[in-house]
Amino acid sequence: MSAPVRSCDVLVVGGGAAGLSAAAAAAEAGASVLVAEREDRLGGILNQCIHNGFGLHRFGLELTGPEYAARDVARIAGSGAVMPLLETSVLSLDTSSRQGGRITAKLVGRGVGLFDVSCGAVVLACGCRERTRGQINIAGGRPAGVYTAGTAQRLINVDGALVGRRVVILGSGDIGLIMARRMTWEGADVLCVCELASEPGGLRRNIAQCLDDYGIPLHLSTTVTQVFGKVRLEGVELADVDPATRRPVPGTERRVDCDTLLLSVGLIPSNEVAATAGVGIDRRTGGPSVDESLETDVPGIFVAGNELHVHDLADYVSEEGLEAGANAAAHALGRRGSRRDDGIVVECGENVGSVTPQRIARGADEVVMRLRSRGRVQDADIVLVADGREARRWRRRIVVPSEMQTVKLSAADLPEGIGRLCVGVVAHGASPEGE
Amino acid sequence: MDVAIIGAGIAGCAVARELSRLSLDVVVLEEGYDVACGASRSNSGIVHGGYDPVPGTRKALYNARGMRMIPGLADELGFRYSNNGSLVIALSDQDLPAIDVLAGRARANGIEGVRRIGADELRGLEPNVNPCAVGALLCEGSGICDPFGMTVAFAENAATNGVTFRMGARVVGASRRGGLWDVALADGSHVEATLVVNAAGVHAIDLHNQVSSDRLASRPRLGEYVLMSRDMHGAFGHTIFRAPGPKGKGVLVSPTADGNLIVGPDAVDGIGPDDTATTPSGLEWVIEQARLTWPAFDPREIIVNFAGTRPCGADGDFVIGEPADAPGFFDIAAFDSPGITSAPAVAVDVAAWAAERLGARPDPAFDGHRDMPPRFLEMGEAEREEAIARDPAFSHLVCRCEQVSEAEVLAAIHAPIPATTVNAVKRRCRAGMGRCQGGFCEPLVVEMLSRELGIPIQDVLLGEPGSEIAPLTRGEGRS
Repeated sequence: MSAPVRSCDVLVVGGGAAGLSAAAAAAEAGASVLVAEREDRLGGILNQCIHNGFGLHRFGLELTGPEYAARDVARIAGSGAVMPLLETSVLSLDTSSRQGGRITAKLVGRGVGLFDVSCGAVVLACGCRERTRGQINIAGGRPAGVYTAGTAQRLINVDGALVGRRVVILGSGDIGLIMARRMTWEGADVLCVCELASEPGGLRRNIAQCLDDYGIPLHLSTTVTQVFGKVRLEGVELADVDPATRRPVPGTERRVDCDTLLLSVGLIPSNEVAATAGVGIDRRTGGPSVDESLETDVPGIFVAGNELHVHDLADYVSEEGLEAGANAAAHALGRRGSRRDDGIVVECGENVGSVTPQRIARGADEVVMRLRSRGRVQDADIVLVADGREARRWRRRIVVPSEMQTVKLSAADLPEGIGRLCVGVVAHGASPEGE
Repeated sequence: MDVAIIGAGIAGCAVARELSRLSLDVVVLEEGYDVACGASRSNSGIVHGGYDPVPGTRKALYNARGMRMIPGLADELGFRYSNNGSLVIALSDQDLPAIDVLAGRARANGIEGVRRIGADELRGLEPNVNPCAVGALLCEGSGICDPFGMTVAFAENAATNGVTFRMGARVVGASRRGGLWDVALADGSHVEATLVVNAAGVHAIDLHNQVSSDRLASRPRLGEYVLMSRDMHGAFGHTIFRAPGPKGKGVLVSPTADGNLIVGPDAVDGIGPDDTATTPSGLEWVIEQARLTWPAFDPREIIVNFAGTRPCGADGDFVIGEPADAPGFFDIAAFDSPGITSAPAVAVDVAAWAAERLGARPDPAFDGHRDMPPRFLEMGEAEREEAIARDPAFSHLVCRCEQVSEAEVLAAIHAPIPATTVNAVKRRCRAGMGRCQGGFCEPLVVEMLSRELGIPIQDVLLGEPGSEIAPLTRGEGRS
């Protein structure tokens, strides 16, 4: 039981992929860093992701989740300026009584109790949670056998407990696809993966490696309308979905007998700590609204990773963590120039579901913009329109909703005096609608 | 045994607690692995104002008595109760006569604090109510409670005062033999008791029909609900009912005593007693009806849907007391709404009849007080410091959404009525009741139950017998 540390330059909330990178970057920029992690080890959800495929972009290697996390843990251990606080939860952030621009966080740590941390900046890296059965309002009883894919993943990979033998998966999010393969490896019969949308929700590479390689059928425009069974799941009712209304088509209902239903129906940024500081949330991403430095609308509070918006790859989460950590350190150490708050507003244009940052400070020299499309476009252009005039476009072989697009803007792309940027995804050569 | 109580729902547990005041041997026989497995937990959690039951019925009598007892019991036994008041809203002038009927019943039932209010006062009280509403009936005396917590409170206090609870004990029959009741259990064993209290919820009428020739009809009625996130708790202060119309009562929208918002129920007849599944059409109807009360209803804020089976009888009233041809067998049957509100008063009467029959004396060691288990989420900072100093397990949060500490989960597992399943833990301390619905904490709770009960993870149950959460080990997937 160590004595509580009560002051640091940067407090990182969450010790998963985003938080570890943020901590490393902040420390490497010269900041003293505390990482609050509620589990008894660092790594976050990476610890239960024992499949490989992590680190391809960052390290050119196909690492497992724990291996990937171990690299970042070693990196912060090497810096000497990062102290992890394990089994510690951040209860709230208080920015109301700023003393010299500092933020006070209230924490509780196992065996340590309640304590305050005074810090110059915060990086929120709390990750995300899975959408549940209740939120998609599937009818039926409440038997055992219905789990979110991540919960079942934790039970098999950490606790060595397998949830069932005949499996239906609703939702083609990446965790659902990974679990389709994982359950198959354990001998279970994965009957099918159903997806409400007419496009898969997960990465194309996971469709190929987790479903196609094992002959697991993927039924698009199909959903689960109810579950059967009182004590244990006995079956589910599937129905076709009308792509226009996204509602089940009456008369197409059919029963499939199974003992397990895994749900991979979306991830939602975890904003509980952000909410205590009154951080503004973007309804499109579900995460905080940020500027190009990943700073929220509460000065000194930065955010990265799946708490900001749900990513497809841990590599990109880490990348974003590095940006947020470096910027938080600069803020805490007083190395950022004065910022004008009458920034440029970034909006979602044609076929764009969400974009970060939601605003850009004037004078920013480099901006990393991350966006998701609403629909699939083969041979696409990502088009940037500044105050109604096309400023730049980037060509992509294919843009799909399940894969986040990243584009980099320079100062030259942001003409002096513009107020509004609008980003769209169109067929190559086409002009965005309504501009 | 002096008394065998069949069923550990609100009625059985309230009677057990009343009988624990006396020097008697009392056993509660419950088929589930927890108390309140049936209608006692799957209901609206309303302490009804007493203006709805038809004057002169048992419902009218016990509702009025029960609602006056509950505030004091909530303090004494430590369960959540709030006197938030209720409103029966009229969405058009055509609804007003129905409201006047209720006002008349309130007068006849001796209920005070009930009055008509106009549209402006209604909007002042509840700005989120449908702006079409033309007025409402305000009942100041009604409230909300945590019906599960209330049942646990009765049960734990009864257990602390010497009542035995046998879980997983399913009663299959009762017969009278040599002046005693012989209660047969599904496992082949028997319990002999001088008196039986039939508090078997949705099965109570079937049990009654086994022992009495005065046969009653059972008409179980399903009610479907959706529960909304904590963020919606403040949308309404009062419990909002709709004026009853030709198509029934409409759904209610109410804050819950636990900090959520509840919407429901519908009323589906012709179901089996154990049928507690929601249906797509039922949930759709509930949501449609909710929008009539609350146009801004946002289905994205739903965290869970559930259904309960109300143990309705044929004539609409409770069946309370001893059938003429079954001496010593006390029914609490057809105990549907307002059963939660009425249970404390019914329990007083049933216990008094039992005491008289048995010539029982007060137990001088009886202690009627029970502390509400503390919740980290609800503590102030000084309380948290004090709790952690007393028990360091308060400093480790298990459930992030509801800020439930390890100490609370351990306390539930080792309580006088132990929580031995994931659902039992969830219902006591709310681990898994938040937005993520146990996505993160369920495996942690499973691990804790495995450790504390000394059983393999594979044997940990969601709720009922046979509901193992992860029954297999690695590689056992092949069937």
